[in-house]
Amino acid sequence: MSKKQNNVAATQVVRQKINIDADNAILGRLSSEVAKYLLEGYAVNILNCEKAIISGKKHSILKEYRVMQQIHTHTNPRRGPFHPKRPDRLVRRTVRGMLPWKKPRGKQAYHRLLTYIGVPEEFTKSEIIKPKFADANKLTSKRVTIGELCKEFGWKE
Amino acid sequence: MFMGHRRVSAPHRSSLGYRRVRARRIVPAPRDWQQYEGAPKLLGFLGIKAGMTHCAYIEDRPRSHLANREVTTAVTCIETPPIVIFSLRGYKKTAYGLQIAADLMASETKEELKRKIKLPKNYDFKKSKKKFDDNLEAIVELRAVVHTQPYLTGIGMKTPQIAEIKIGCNSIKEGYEYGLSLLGKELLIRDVFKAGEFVDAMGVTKGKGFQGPVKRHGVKILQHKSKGTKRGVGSIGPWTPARTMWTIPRYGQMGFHMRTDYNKRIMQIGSDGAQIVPKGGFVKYGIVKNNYLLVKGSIPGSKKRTVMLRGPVRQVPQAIKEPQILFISTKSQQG
Repeated sequence: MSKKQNNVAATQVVRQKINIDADNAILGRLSSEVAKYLLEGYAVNILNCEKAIISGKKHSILKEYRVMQQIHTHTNPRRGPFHPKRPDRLVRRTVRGMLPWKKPRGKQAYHRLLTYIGVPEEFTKSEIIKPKFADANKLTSKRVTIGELCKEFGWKE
Repeated sequence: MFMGHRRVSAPHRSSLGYRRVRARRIVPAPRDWQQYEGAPKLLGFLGIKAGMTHCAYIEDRPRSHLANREVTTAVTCIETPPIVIFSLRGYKKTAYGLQIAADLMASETKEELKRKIKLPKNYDFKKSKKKFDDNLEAIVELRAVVHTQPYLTGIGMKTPQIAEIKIGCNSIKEGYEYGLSLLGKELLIRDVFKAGEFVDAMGVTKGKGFQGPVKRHGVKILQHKSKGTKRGVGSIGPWTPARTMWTIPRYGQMGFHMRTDYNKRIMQIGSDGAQIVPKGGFVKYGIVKNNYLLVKGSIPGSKKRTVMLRGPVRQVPQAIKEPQILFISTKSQQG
């Protein structure tokens, strides 16, 4: 499929919604797949964000995030870049990093993404996909949930 | 020191912990409340700052070197007309913090409240109460929505001010029953605080407008031969980065900030204002017509400004005694 055709297809499927359960899903693999869906024109809701996981030892992951959080405007930290400390925002920001954020196409795709802590009432009756592509059960290493990580940053459950 | 020289580094002249912007609202909305267990009661009250005077009392802090001796202190008078509880509000816990679960307004409200908010035309109390009852299990925090009655004072203000005050209780059910018994009624300062207790005084400070760095941040005035200005900052930063750092003391808004003064001791709660009002009245305020409160020391804000008195959120002495006041100055404050 050529690039032009792809765009046409994207406009046709706009507003098709996908609800994804992030429980026990690997954050990076989940995000890259979600980014693909978004660019195809889907609107994606990610639920249970606090239960998504990152593989690795907790202290080493924490260390990486702490280093990242130190990045801010030297002359005025209030100007950003901002580092989310709430699970739903952290997941949303992770997906943003996988979209062409500086182009309108990426920005529009980003606005089609919504993330939630837990499963809100409005989704209890709708179909929720459990992604196989990001299943953490195949992991043999240690892991940490986004919720645990965010608590270290100061998030109160 | 030496001409043109200063130590290479010095402590910052002002606190960087606050944003120096005007307060969004003039009536405080506390984010934190006193941790309270016991018979249900409101954890705060609203008053109007009237002015300051001084009093003599017997020092009752046992560890003070002036213990059991007569000491004088400055006190602030806060006029506290009864507040009216016109609505109850229940909050439920969500993953994103507290959110309103239900509201229950009194069936009859004061006429003056119409000046402040638009009231519903056909209000059905029973319907609202049923809705509140249904949601009661989900509610984790109860607050009373109160309005002040400034028209009872002599300051010429007619429009009441609105605030939410948490109801402290052991269980939500107890608190709800207490709230229902108060709904639509007046509450006195005596029902909330006692003399000798500590409170946090929250309010908006006096506005000073647009000020320079000398007044706003307390930087030193430069020597008179300084080029350009002497009431400015000597250096606003290095060549690179070619921007001004956020830490540089600069001009801008000063005052009219929301501030909290912690652990102010209530010296006296009285009902006869004539006993404490200075001869000729408090300057820029007048006489005190209602119940009043004497608080040790100063509190933020100008006269006639609404102050939130909140139960203490920080640790305070456990044993609370009413201070023995010997004398309150009523000397004229004019001339």
